[in-house]
Amino acid sequence: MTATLANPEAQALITEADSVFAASFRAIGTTNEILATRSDALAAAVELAKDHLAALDAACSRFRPDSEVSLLAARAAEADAWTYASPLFLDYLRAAQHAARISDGLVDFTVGRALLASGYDQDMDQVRSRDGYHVDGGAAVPGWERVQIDGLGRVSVPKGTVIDFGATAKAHAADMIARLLALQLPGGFLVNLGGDIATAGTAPEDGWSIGVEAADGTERQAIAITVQAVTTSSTQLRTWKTDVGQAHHIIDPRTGRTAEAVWGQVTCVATTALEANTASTASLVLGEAAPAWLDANDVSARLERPDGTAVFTGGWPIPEQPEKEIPC
Amino acid sequence: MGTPALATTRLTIGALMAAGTLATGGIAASLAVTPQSDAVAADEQSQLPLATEVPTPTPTPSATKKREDDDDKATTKAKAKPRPTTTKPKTTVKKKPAPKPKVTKAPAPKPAPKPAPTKTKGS
Repeated sequence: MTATLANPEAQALITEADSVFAASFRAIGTTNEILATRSDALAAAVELAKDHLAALDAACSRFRPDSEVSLLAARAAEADAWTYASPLFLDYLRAAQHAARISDGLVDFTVGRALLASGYDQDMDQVRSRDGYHVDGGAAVPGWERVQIDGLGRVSVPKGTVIDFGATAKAHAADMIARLLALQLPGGFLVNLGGDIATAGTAPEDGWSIGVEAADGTERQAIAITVQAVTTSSTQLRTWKTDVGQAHHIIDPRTGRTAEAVWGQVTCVATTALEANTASTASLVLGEAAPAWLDANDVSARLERPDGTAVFTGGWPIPEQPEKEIPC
Repeated sequence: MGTPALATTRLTIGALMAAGTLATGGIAASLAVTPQSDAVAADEQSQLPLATEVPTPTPTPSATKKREDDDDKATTKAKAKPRPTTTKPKTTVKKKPAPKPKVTKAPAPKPAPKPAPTKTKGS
């Protein structure tokens, strides 16, 4: 069954799969989806999600010159800088600090300048349209611990800091929206923001069924979760050509350069999408050391190399058929 | 017969006092202010900040009373008890270092049939 939302401004598509109802919509430069166990909650859920994402974009987008992130980066261009920050910005900054803390700094939100230096200085479509971007070396990463929040809600950054919430904002938004929906609406919800998935409320009887999609669009495997979150980080999708080879958006904060693409993509399960995405991003940075780090942190994960072979950690269900997949 | 010890001490103190008086007189004499010229005095006067007349504070009745009370207390002040000779053993609480934050453990996912209604994919 398929039906469009009654509100034409929502421009979302509602579909029904068994007892789960779904609606999709575009926001923050990606396709987003909400699954609900009750059809009567779906339209309101989409509106709540859109409102939150609009506010997030206004505060945290690196591509909006009027966002808090951009204004702070402009202030910090010539000297150390500080600013008052909105509660939303502070919430996303604290989430990014948590990610940095639990990943031992492997997921560092001060990689913005290094990301710019690598060529990711505009919207991805524009970045891709350029041919052979000249990479003039990496850029120093100031370090997440040097960004401070004081008791008055003021944020201070060292000179040259460009904050980039790319590794945490979408995942944290999925968590926030899922909780908001469970708080305000009846039933259970799955919030999927461009592949970062969080759940809240009453799950369907068999759990939420989620496919793991590869860069070529094929569904590698399906898993079921009830109260967890799932995210995937990839070195194969947001890519562009430079004069030193193909670049992607994952920066190793230890070097200030694009991380080596040991893994094509890593999918992790955690209690929140923020922590799942922290683990999947840290895995891409760590390269060959990732499976040991994931095991040490009890994270269920599926790591896929660029050639399609897979490695599993933390009790991830191993599929029966593929001969390419190797349990860790 | 020799001079008693007490008499010797008194003599010595007396001699020291006399010497001190003389020395003080000498220092005072050396510090005697020589009159400066009127021009220099006028110049120094012009460099001084203007004095602001501050009214003399007058004690309030309560403050006066308080002082009297204190005086009364001073006369009846009890002797402080001698400090105990034994010291209590100090208990030092060792702070445990905060545990290193980690990813919160979550249950592993279960297998599900394909195709799934929603997908996780790289971004």
